[in-house]
Amino acid sequence: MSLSAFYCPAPIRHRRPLIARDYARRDLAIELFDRGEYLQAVAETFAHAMPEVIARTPFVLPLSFAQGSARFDVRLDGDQLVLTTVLAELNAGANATALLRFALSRMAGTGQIYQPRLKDQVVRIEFREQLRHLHPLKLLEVLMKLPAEASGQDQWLAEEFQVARPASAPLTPLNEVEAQAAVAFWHRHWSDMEILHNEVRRRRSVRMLDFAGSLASNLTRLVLPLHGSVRIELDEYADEIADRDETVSKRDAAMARLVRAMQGVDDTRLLASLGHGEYAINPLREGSPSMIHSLYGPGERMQAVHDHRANGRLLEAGLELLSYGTYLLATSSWAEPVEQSIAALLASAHEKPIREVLDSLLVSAEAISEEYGKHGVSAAAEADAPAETMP
Amino acid sequence: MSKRLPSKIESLGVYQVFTGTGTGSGWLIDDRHLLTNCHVVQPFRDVAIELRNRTRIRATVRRLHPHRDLAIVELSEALDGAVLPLGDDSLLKPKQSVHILGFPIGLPLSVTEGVISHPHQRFDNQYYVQTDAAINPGNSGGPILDDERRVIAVTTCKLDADSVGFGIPVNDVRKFIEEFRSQTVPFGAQCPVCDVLITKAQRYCDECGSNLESQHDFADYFSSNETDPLATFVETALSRAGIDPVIARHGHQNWSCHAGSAPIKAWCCCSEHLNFSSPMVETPTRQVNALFAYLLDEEHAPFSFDLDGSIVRMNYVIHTTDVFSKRDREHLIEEVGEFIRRADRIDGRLVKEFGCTPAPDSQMPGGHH
Repeated sequence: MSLSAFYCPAPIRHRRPLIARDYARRDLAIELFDRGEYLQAVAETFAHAMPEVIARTPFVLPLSFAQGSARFDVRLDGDQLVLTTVLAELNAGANATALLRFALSRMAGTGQIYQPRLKDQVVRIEFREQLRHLHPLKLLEVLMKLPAEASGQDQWLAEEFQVARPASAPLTPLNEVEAQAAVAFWHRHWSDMEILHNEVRRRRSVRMLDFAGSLASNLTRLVLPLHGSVRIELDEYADEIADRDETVSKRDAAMARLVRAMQGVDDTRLLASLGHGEYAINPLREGSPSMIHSLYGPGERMQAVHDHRANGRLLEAGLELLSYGTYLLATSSWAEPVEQSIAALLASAHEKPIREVLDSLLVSAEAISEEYGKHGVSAAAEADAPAETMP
Repeated sequence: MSKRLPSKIESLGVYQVFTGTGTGSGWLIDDRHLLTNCHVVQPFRDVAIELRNRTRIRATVRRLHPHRDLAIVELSEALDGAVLPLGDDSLLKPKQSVHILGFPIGLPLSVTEGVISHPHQRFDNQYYVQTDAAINPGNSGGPILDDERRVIAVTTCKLDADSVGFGIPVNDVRKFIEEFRSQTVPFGAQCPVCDVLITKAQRYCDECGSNLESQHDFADYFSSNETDPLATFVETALSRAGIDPVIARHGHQNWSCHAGSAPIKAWCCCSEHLNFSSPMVETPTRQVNALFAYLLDEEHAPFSFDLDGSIVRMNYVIHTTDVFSKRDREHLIEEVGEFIRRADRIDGRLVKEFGCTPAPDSQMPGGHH
């Protein structure tokens, strides 16, 4: 990064568009449950949670679905519904003690109604409940949390503890063009982040550190379908950089370690960590107009961007606008026009001089807020809503 | 610390008070009665007192003085802690040393020290002993002592500012105790205006005509508590399992008790989950594979285990939608009972078969209690 232009290539990761959930089906599920029609209630709950899958294939038990690299089985066991995924098999050579300790200390716990279980040397995460006690809201909580947690952990567990994953869902490797683009992105991005971090240190700006950390992690998540230990490492460093309860020096050190660690990932390991997965449940949260409004709408954030621009701090202004955009696309799913508008904003800055594109970035950001930052109510009414805690 | 304050403060008759809204401190005025703050015990008529061995006994609220923030509770059994003598607040002087005993933020009995900042400070239309000694939530109701180990005030509140705490002067406390001893009615609250004892729900004070319902939630003292459904569920389940829910209360939507040797905790961590947990043993440092495999075994379902550092906890998580469903209620109450019984059985097994040691909260021989 020359500090005069940003590098925002088009995503290699496949689109995960917003398929709005039908909340009427959830409410119908609750009505059915209250009437004692338990299986129908389960079917409606699945239809609400995974509309794309159920639209393609009618809900029939047993059901199997993929969520990234994890495969889930849903079946009836007597009068119980069982939702389970195999995390690891303790084969010879596995670091079984460390894996079991990890499962007990990091995956099991209070505050969740599914738990890791061990049977015949196989570690599963399992949820099991009698149909007549399976309130749709309970099932929905499991569907929203369990697959996300399992698909985030399973590949990393295999790498970390040398365990087998006998029932994993296959990820489609990147094709040659994608692989070349991914490797090119990786080297360029972390080289840019090193330069940007040096600039953050030179300016001794905590605010700039926030945005540099956000761009470093979110642009990676947006561009690459990253899995396994590299993804976990990225997430852990990103959390540390964003942890405002930590001292600035620790957060700054975390940024330096993130850049070093990612630069240390060789091409073979990188490509082994990339793959396109199927997701029965969208792993991204549903984007909302409030999110757009709180970042690109009138308020303190955009005021700060205008202040930077007016005071000649073009790098900071551009960095903040692009960090918001990558955050919105990396963490949330959007209707196609919204996604295209934000992607166009990012693309417009790709390898262009900041001084030339900043004004158009500002115009685009404000236009996106004006167009998509409202729920159909006036912006003034939304100003009372709590701001997004980002980045 | 004063030479007169014993080095082992545990011998003093100062105890922790547990209710369904929080914890506070209290001190013996005789072997069957404890004095504390009104705000510590209200709105409950039954509270729990924890002894030094961490077992708890029941206590019944006998007198309340909402305006002066005092309460007297009668203990279900006599205690042998030293009864502290009462001093005379008219003799207090600025800069005189004070020692505050109590259970700050729920910690074991502690003493903090300071001086009297003002012996007769007027604040919020009442007089207090003002001190710079550290006062924290949980200290409320505890004694403030002079160098001669006499009670000179009762801790009641502090300001948000640094080092500004207040105690109720002991002469007001003495008057409250003497009035209590001269009366025979089992329960009463003193009128906030004229101090006359009110023994039943009434809108106006017979003596001074004050509207009681408009002051200090007075009507609440004579009506049964409005408990939320989650608390009612937990307390019903504990009761069915043979545990006195009053003894188990540990603040808002929080319970702690023992089932045999196993510590049992229950709490609501969010709007979705009601958690039961038993932090029963600590893992051995070596040869843990068989233990971990046992803890993860699916035979324990619907219960599960996790590790909190080196502490093994047995857990049962209930979704709150189930608590509000009449259909699931009985089934869940039975499951909670089974959880409690099983926790009491399994802790010994983990010690015997897997080389675990009792956790700090365990009542097993060898526990830290």
